[in-house]
Amino acid sequence: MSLEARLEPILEQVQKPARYIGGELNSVVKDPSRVSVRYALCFPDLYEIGMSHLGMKILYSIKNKREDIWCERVFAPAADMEAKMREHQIPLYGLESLEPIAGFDFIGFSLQYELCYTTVLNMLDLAGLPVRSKDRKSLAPIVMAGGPCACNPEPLADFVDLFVLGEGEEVNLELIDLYKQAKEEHWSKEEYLRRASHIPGVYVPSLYQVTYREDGTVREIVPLDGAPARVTKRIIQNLDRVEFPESFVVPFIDIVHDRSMLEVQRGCIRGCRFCQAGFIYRPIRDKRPETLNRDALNLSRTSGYDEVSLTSLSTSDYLGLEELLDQMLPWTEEQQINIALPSLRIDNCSEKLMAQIAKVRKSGLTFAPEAGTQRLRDAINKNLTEEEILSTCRSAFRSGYTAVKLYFMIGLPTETMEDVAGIADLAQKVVDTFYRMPEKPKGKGVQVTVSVSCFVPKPFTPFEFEPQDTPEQLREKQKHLLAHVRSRKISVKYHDSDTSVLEAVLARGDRRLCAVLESAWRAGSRLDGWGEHFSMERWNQAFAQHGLDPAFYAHRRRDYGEVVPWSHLDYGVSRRFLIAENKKAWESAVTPNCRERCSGCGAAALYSDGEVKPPCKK
Amino acid sequence: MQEVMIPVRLFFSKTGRAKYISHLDTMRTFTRAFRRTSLPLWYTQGFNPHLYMTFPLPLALGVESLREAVDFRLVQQMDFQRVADEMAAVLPPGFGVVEVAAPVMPASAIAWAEYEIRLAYPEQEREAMLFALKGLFDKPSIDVVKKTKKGETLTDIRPHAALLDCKTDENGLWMWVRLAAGSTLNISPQLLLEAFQKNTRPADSVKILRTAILDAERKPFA
Repeated sequence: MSLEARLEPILEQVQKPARYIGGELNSVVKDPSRVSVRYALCFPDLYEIGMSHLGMKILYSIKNKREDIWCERVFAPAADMEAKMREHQIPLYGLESLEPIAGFDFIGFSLQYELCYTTVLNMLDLAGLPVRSKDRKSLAPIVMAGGPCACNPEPLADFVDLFVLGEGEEVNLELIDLYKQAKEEHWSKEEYLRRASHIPGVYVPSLYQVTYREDGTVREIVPLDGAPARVTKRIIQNLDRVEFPESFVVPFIDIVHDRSMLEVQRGCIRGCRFCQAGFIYRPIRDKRPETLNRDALNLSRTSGYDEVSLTSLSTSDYLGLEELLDQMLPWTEEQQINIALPSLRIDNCSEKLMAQIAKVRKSGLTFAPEAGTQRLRDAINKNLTEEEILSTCRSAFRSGYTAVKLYFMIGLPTETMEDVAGIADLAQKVVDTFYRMPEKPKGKGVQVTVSVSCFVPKPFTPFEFEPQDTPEQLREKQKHLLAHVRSRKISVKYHDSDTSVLEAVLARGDRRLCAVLESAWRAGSRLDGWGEHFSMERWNQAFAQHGLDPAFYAHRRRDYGEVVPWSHLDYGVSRRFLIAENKKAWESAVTPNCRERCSGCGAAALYSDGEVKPPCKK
Repeated sequence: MQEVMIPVRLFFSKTGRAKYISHLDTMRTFTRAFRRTSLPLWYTQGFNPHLYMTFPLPLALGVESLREAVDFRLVQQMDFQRVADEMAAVLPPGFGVVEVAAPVMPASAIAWAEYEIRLAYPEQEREAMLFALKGLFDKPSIDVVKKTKKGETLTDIRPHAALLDCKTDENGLWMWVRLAAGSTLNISPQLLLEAFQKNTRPADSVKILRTAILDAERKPFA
């Protein structure tokens, strides 16, 4: 009986069956007998999350453009579907062919956040494969992974055959071409991985031996079998010319980001010291407005979406923004298409831009001051003044907004209780600003939502050396903040501190955590990012079982000289620069953004010779 | 102000994998499909204009259909065959265009719907199930608990259900039924199956296909 027929009785019994059947508009179906490589593009979270991710759409499109490759989408089933699949022995399958992915050539995971790691293991297991790399002996399937978490993939080192560091558009195809040669010439999996390790940007963890000191820190990372001593991430040299999808798969069910998306630029000029994306995606590169306008037209025509979103880490820093809006406005207005502008900075949001966003969403405006006092904003290099925050709120209120959402973090390095109280003070000033305005919207109150998350130190940031606050310290700070909120116009929302600790452990973890990860998964952990599935107790038991202390990873300060688990991986930004930035943070000294002055972070070396583009300098 | 406003009724099939697409998701699917055409569609004239589109008789999740209807409006007279062709080109797999026509009846005319239902049972149980099915319709009343927004009510669906035909074959038990349909009184096939399976064991699998939508005179909804 075909998998489709076996799925039928099950799908009648689960929530949102359309997650599991494929068949969406623009999904790519090929004749399996006419392709030579089958690729399972996996997102270790639910359909609604994975289908919202632009990187998935780009890689899906690039692979399927090649006639010899059939790339299919695979997402993690929700708990009810997983139970049914296990009960009826239905293996994890590709949404396009409804065929088991265990028989594919590649299984590739997108690693967007640390809390998805147990889901990676669970998906391999659901596919019917051994979770450990060494237990999968044959060449196929090659299990690979990429995405931001690949910058320290050590907690997954025992499970994944190879990691792609940096941008995947080119290297994915190089890996597939090498695989075709491997298949033709009957290489072993070891032979393939050994050769793959010489493709720039490819990291094969089994080709590195890690030894530890008595105190638990890494002593040495030794390359084996001729593998390169350092693996440098890949970048796309000319972003404007890189392939971009002409169409998106249009889901039937409602997903998180259900719209066309453009990537106006990659990288960020800002260098906020807490932000991993701000460092690992360097250098900044952008696309021409003409290119983006063409892509937006294509996507709107082929999808029928009524919204197009201009995404990047900081879209108001995109120099071509006004020109792009000028090109897009005539046809988007005629076709009743909204232009969404997420990720705007407060300080460079022009009145024209404000008017543009106001047309799209009248309800609320979201800004991220990140810290409550000027001193702490300087320490994290947020480069945003209180006056800029308040004047932007003023112009937002003037254009009709009555709700403002402010994002903050607690637990930032150098933070004091005054800084925590400063969050409440700043929110209060926003409320006061509203009531002091003579032209405030009539008959309406203001609503300021303060959303507070817990800071997680990440690799390749100036804060990679810093200890994370303990849950007790974080709870103390949460209490302190609440005590300082006096207005009923301010509501405070928190994030869970336990998941932040686990995130911190995995972000800067080493290979010894592989055993912990496997134990936590075997005990039932999966979809850890979802509150209803997460259990810190289960994780604590797994740590205890393997004699490891989460505090060692989360709450310990690292010396500048320590060999960190990701020492052999190179993301362009130099360790010397990160140390200098860390020192400046402790002096509350700011660093200008890349366009004001090149600070020589090292990322310019990622450009091929002679190709260094502004604002980077050689 | 728009001068003309031409009401159009598109009849479509929804089969195969498309049966897993809920009514809400079907509406979204059609909105986007319409937007991918070049049809001169009528948008509502309010502060926030949106595509005008209504489904006279929504179809439940898990049920296939040969002939569903969706109503919309054009702002310019055009050949219905072209409308059909354009829509056929943009609808996802599982949705097929059956016919495009000017609406003849109002949605409120819908009174009945006919279904083909197949219940899979092991061979040795089929005849007993056929007997049980006939027995159900021989009774003067079929009481079922109907869940509504106001709570649960006990309803006799016997006056609102007719068994048109039934048989068994190697695929299981087949039945063809006509059930009351429409916005005032709607008896879903699932409700009938609930009544049937109250005293029998549940089928191994269930396939439901809506074959027709009818008015009070049992003329096809047009």
